[in-house]
Amino acid sequence: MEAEFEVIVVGAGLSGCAAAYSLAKHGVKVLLIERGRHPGSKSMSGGLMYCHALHRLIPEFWKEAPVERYVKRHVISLLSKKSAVSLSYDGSRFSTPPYNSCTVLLSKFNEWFGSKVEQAGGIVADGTYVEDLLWDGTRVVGVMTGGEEIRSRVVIAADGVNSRLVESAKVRGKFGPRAVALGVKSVVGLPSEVIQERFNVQGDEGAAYTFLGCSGGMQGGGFLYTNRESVSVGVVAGIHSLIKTDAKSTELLDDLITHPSVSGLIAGATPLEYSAQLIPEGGYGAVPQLHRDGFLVVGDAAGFASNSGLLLRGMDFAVASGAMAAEAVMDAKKKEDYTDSMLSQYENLLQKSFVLRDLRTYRNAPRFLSNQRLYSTYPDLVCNLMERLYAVDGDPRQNLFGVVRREMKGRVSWVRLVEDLLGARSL
Amino acid sequence: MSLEKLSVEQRLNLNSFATDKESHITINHKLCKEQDTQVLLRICPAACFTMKSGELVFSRLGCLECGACRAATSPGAIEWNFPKGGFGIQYRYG
Repeated sequence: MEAEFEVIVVGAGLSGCAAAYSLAKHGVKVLLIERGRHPGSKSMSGGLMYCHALHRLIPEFWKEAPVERYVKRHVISLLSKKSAVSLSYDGSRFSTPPYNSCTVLLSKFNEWFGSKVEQAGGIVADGTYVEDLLWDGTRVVGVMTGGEEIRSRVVIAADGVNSRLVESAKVRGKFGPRAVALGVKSVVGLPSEVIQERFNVQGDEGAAYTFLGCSGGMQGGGFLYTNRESVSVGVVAGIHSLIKTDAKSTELLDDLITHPSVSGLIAGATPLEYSAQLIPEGGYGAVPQLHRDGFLVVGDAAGFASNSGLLLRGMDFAVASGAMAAEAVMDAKKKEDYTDSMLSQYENLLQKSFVLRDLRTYRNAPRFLSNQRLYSTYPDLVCNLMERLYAVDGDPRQNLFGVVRREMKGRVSWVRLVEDLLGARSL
Repeated sequence: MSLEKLSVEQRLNLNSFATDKESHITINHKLCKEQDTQVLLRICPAACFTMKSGELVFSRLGCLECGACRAATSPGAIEWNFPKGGFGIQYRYG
């Protein structure tokens, strides 16, 4: 039977929209299928996007896309119960184009991206759930939806971290507790003037905070990003950590938003939305087989996200992998050859790009980051040190080394500290 | 009311949902071990798993489709699916 479409992309998230847009723009007959009511209605992310990948696909996308703010200030905060030690970087270079990173509200953003796909000539079918892949022997030849077959030469699985298609294609099983983290987030509304004043930013500049020590000792951390008229605040914790402790996911946010140095940042804000999402954290070791006959995997479905402890990236990986899948399909189209060996060009492109190179660079990071001391011992230690440094009460002072030694006693040995510092080379 | 004062139900009430008549997740009581039950009661950020007259039940109301329950449990403990097309959480911000 003849294929109705050259390519079917399943999932109108960032990776799916990037793939479909790229294909449509080059005149490929593409169908983008989305289970939500419109592109974006199932999309959620922390909200910090590094712009380079999308800028490459749609130059100066920020001129037309619903971008929230350009991140000018990055703050790293180590939290103990009642205090915080922060390091802040102000980059004036970051608030001029080409922008380094911006904040987005991904649902709104992908609604825009979906409309770009349509403008480029792609067909978007929303409210449509793909139940399974359609096979001809070992070759994927389309999808099944609502009991009907839709045929294509290639199917691109962009159906997210919980991808059902990668399981049907047997390229990987479900992600286990060590391969994913749970992110829980709330968007809270604040007037633009309040954001500018409170975060000391001007115009459409914004700030991004990363917190360590707010995850109840579990592997994870927190974030706070300023949007145009709202703030995204969230906590990420490894599923295996959540299983081991007696923590409740419904309370994950609470330690962060009630922390004395964070609560003031969202004081008086109106809660607007509450969301949750799994984040691939398995790194290079968890990347599945990325292609088969007539089939490619992109974005979160492929586990493309990188965590270097302080930098959590997924959205630029999603966009780049979608665009590279499109490139590989266009090469395949020229030769009318959609076999696995032809489509493996996709993996070559990824290997040459930051997607698999960065994942490889941080391949040992998951092991280093599973060290529990990073999430309570060290943030506590640093906060206590700073407190001792500044607390002057008339008692005789100790020199800095003495203070460090005293603070470390019973918490962490010198050997462990040196070990952990050396381990940080994996970041 | 400020975020920290809101219960999980109130936080979920901020969201827009199109709830289906059928449930997209079912508990397989034969394979759902005691340990899975304990994990499911804690791991869902929308508190969709609760005990009702001594039995674990799943309520699709408020499900954020995150998949934490699926990643955290032993194989077969729950049968996990997305809601049908057009149903479930409708993020407005994301």
